Amino acid sequence: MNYQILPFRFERLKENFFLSNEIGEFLYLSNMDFEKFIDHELAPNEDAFKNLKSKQIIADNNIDTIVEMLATKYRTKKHFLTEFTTLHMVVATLRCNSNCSYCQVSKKDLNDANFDMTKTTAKKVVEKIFESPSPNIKIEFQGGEPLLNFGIIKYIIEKAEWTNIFKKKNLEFVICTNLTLLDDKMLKWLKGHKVYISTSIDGTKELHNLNRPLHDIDNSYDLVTDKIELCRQHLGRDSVSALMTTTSYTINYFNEIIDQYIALGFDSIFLRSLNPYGFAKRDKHKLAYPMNDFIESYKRGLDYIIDINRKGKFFAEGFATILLSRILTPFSTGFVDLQTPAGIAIAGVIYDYDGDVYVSDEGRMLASVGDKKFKIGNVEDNSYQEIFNGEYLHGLIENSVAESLPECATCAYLSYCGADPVRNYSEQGDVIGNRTISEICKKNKNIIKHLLSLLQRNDKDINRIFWSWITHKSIEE
Amino acid sequence: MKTILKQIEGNKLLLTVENSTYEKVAILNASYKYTDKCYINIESLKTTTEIYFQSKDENVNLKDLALSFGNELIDQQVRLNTGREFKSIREELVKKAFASISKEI
Repeated sequence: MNYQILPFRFERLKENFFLSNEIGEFLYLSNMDFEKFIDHELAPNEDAFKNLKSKQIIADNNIDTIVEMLATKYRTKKHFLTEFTTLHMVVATLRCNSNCSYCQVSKKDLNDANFDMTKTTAKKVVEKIFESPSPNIKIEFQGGEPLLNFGIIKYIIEKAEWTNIFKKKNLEFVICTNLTLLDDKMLKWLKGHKVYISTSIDGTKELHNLNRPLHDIDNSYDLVTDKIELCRQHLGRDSVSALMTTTSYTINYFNEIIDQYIALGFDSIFLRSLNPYGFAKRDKHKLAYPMNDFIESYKRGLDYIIDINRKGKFFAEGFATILLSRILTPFSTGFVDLQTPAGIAIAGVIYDYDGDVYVSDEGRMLASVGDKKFKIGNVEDNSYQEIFNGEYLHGLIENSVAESLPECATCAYLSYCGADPVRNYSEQGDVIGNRTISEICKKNKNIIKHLLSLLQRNDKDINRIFWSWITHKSIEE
Repeated sequence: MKTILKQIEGNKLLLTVENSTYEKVAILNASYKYTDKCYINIESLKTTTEIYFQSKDENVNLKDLALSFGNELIDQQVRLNTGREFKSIREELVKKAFASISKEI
């Protein structure tokens, strides 16, 4: 037949072929249809032909129009590149009152004020942030425990708001905190400045306390959950979000952890694997687990969440929601870890307490154990152009275009995935990395394939549940 | 493609690879990664390249090392091939990524 085959990638599965294109349209073909397709032997009245045409993998007429449509969708998918850095993380202090088993930033002693950001540095940080051309600026305070240096948080927020009177950007603030130090006075101040709170809950009381004790007491759970309620009273129900980190202590308890999130009034959870940095890397013999174990636990957890939704309760899984958005819509998701080129520095960046600038939180985590490979400058010593438009960063970004990386370039799941040079370097000592031994590749590919297999079932309930997660609306709406 | 692995003397091994398959850059990049484990000597011939491995440590299994070197060689050559094949899309994406802060824009 006379049809044009447009760019696509494929993978041979056990019983059929999976095909996708650059904008993430996908379909499955039987072995026989695949052979006929590539031999140009499909007839226009065959289902395979119609499906391939509707997914813009083949075209039999109006080819120029179809290529133009593909280009428009591709621009939409890569829209994040037009904004430049939107997420600016600021380390207010490295001091911390927590004693987390997996601390990835190698926190410092509670009383050592040498690890606090000073006003001089903070002023320069805000100046650099507002040099970003992005119309959207999110300033996220990190630690240590950032509330130990609440004075600098207030200073940065006030200075940013003042600067923004002239810059007129969409400005947002988030504090990533263990909540334990938060009080009414702080909350009253935060309420006047539209600040969101992000905290960590690792599961049930027992599991949370195992992972995240405080330096002076083991039971941090009661304190954190009380403070979540206090935040909600002052800042509103949706003002607090939570993250969990999976360790070997918690990997077999996803159902219990999910139940706990629901009991605490959250409408989503992000089932997150352990990142191999800081104490998590140092103590991996105690805390880590094979990635395959995480993938299997994740799948079981996802099944459990789907069942909860089937019973009428809206509750989403964060990682699946991001991946499903990439699979089912042409929009870019803004999730730094799944972008290509990688989102390092060009989507999110971190300013350490001493003014050093790193391409990502993971980059400064490596620095905290002495490896400053991903430092791109210092706010006091370097100009904005030197930090963000230097040859070094250009080189890193160039090496993080998954479309031109070995294995990724031909991977059928590339449209849904991204490049992570910092993780590659941490795991393999090389920013490009080898996919055959990459843990992050294993995780992403397996979870993407699992979600695709759920979609392939064409189960009405599952499809409605997934769309409700993407649109953040309950099924009834 | 013909690749030959040959034991010469007690602690030396010779790996011969085809120049039509592997470029000099890939061979050098792969070799560099093994310089901590063994002494490497490279000789370029007309159609092949000979890579000599000599163990630094008696406990190192030179044959395993040379076989693993073969995989590294593939990795390095694939990087070069992929980098070349998708150069234009990579350059376009990087240009787009920095367009908003580039002074010439």
